[in-house]
Amino acid sequence: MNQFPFNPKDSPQIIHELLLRMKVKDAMSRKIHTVSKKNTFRDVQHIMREHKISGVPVVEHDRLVGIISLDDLIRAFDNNYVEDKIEKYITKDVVYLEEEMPLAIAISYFNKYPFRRFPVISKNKKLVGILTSRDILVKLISELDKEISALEEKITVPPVSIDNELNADFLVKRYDFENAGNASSSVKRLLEEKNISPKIIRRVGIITFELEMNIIIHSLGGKIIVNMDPEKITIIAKDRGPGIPNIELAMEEGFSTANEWIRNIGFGAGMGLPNVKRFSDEFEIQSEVGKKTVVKSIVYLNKE
Amino acid sequence: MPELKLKEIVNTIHCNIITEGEKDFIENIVASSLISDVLIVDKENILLITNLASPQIVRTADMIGANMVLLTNGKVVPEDMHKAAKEVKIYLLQTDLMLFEACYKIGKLYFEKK
Repeated sequence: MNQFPFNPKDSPQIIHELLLRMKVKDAMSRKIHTVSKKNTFRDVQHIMREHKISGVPVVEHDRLVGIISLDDLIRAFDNNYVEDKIEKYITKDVVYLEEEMPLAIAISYFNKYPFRRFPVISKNKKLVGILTSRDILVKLISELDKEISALEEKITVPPVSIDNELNADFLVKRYDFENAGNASSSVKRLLEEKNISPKIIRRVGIITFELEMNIIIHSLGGKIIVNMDPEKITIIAKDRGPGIPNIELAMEEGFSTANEWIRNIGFGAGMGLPNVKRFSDEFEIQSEVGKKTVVKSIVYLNKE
Repeated sequence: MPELKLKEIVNTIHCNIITEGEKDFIENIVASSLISDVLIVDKENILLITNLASPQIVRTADMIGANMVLLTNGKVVPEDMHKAAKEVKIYLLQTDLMLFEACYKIGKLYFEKK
């Protein structure tokens, strides 16, 4: 079957909205190869082969008058009229899309008709493009990419918390030195609002900062999660890889795999993990090559 | 523990005050240009003397609870470093003195009080 791979109505709200917001003209391909009624099936065959396409619109004074598909061409071969002009074989009632239609409507066309491509016409009936389901998917993915980036920007705002509880998580991106320390600064501010002792705040701040820098310098990106209950503060750093080959070595003071430019800006002295352990009451690390690294650090509130 | 006031520091080394902070005194001094070394410090009310001109050094200072950062070697304060100092509300000072000279002059003042 030629069904579109998903139903926009059952999809997440964002996809539904995007497909309503985006027009056919945003996704269609504007590079069109056309023929006139006077061309032969042989001409169509050459165009299809040369441009690797499977449908060629037929135009007359910029107006769309029909379309020749691969199926039509095969039929011409089967019935031996490849050298004939296409004139008398083109279907008059060709199904087309209008450039101002939302993509959601275009998708319904792909489900309703057996065609794999639709010519697109402008308000004044001129042929302006051609739309395939691939065009829609490519456009949708690039728009989703933008939407997700915008959402990620908002994520760093920590959620509101009550009294002596805290629940915050921060996205940390690889090599994002510009925002390095933002998560730790936010954690520090949140703890200050809760009147935690400066000594504890300093320890949690340093732990968070070291872990944040580790994610930025050494991982593919990850997350810092900070939880507080009346008894303790738990800091968890999770990344997406690539994992630590030798944890024992990584825990040794002075061991670092950081490169020259990272050392030049003052990092990479190989003190990170040992320092996290030094300031933690409890410390745990899990890692394996090719897998994510998880570091868990606990600081007790009433253990001075 | 000896305490140095901002005014005493400014009068001694004639540094520029780039941003205003919340606490105008210090009790401990750390001099380093390696963030990792700064993060090991377990003291309070610190003056961090450094020749590293980056927003990260300011954030590091904030993490260890420093009250002031002094940038030496006549380095120009980059825009992002300036912004970071304003954000975390610590004093950012700047001097043409080299790291060693700045340490010597402030150190003399500090240890005489001890």
